[in-house]
Amino acid sequence: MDNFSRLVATLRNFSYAMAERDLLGGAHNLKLMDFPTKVFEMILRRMNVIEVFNLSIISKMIRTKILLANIQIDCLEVICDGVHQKIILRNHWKDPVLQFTFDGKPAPFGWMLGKYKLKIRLCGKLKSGYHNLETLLHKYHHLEGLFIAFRFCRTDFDHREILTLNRVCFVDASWFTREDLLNSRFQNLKLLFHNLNSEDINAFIKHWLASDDTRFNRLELMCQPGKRLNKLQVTKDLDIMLWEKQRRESEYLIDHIQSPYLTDTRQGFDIERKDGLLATILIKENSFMFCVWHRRFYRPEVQEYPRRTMKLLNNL
Amino acid sequence: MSVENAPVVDVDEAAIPVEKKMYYRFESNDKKEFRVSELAIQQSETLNRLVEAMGYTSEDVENKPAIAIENIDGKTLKLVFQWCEHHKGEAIPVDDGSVPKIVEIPEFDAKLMDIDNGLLFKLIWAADYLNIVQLLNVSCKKVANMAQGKTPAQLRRVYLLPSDEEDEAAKRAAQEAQDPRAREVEEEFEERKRQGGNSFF
Repeated sequence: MDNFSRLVATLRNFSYAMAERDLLGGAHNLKLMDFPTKVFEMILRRMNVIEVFNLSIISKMIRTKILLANIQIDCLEVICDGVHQKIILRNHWKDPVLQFTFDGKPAPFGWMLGKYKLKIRLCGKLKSGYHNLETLLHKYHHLEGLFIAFRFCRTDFDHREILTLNRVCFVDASWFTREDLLNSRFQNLKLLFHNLNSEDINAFIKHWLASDDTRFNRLELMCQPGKRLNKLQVTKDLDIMLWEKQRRESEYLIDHIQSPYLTDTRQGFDIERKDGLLATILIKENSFMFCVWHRRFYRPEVQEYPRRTMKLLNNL
Repeated sequence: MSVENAPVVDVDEAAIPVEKKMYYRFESNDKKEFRVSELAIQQSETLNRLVEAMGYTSEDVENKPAIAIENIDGKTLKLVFQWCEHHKGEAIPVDDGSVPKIVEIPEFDAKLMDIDNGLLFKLIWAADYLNIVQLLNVSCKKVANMAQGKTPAQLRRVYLLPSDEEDEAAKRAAQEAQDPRAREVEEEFEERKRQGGNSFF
């Protein structure tokens, strides 16, 4: 190795060492678990919910200690979705019924956090100025999506901020208006029990056709019980096309994080934007899906995904 | 007031303070002596009770040996007393141990705690031992702040948290250390198995 290479290697190692030193605070002997229990709890109480959560997934031991600390952070209930996989960080300040609780098993944290993507289901009542939701949105940079099952109050949230996440589902979307639909930008959005009508949906499709939004991927809607969509009104004044196998796949990939699947879209109506982006409109009596084909044909391995019928109440 | 100007002095380094107040003398486990005002001592519940119980007069302070604090070293104790002097007379917060705390670290405290993690660890232990509520409050906040913006993997390194495997290994090692004979028996059993014997006896 010549002198120059040696110098470069030395400098590189030095910069790595400095970065590590900055991360560790100059010395390596601050063992969190070695603090007395009282001090450990005091430190936890000075962290935010995301930091405590991140700590909890490091080991069983730390999870047990956090559990014993019985921290009540706020009135935020977070449930990570999945049949046997859920995290409960339940807390409700001034209400001892809801406690900060961790599922003691390590398995529940597995599949999404491996990729540093966290999908969270929020339900219950949120109080205290929604502090912890703000924390989630602002501080957890790996948050992939939110499944929101609580009663949403427009005065307490800026929903556009939530919609910047890749995947969002509002279980009670009765507050969501036509203006919200047209003026918000989102990637994958599910609205259940909404009050949008066929004209609103038609306006949304026209809005997409006139836009240059390349982030949007899928909109799924499920009507309130008793309400129906009118197929003719939804597709009014649109240049719709029937499925052709030369144009696109017959099945659309519902790319849920947990269990992606292919759904038959041959019955859907296609529309093409000026820039060539293709989308399909699927309308059933009480449900609607608008999906964009960022790839009109999938790689062979995608064909091996399971097939299911269109499901709106599913994972993100 | 800056950290450097805080009125905690090593007895061998500075003159007796000018202010006519009651002072106490304390000695660390490495024989460093400190002179601390009565008002500053009140920040520490432990020391306050101790000096009250002793009932010292000003003469006693000068004539009797310094009060020994056996489990805190001089470097840590100096920081503790600097903090107490700077915050003397301030109300002591009541920690109800329930709410998530929003704690602001004052500039003086931030400078005082601009130390390596080893010393910070000792400072927190000392604040806990001496029951200095507000010092414990801000020092815990300092440690909590280290978690900001960190991934779980980074947190593991920052707080030196063992993984599940390391915990298991440590547990096994502790068990083996408790009963070395058990390990010998196990090794003998394994050896006999290798030699073809099915029965240990």
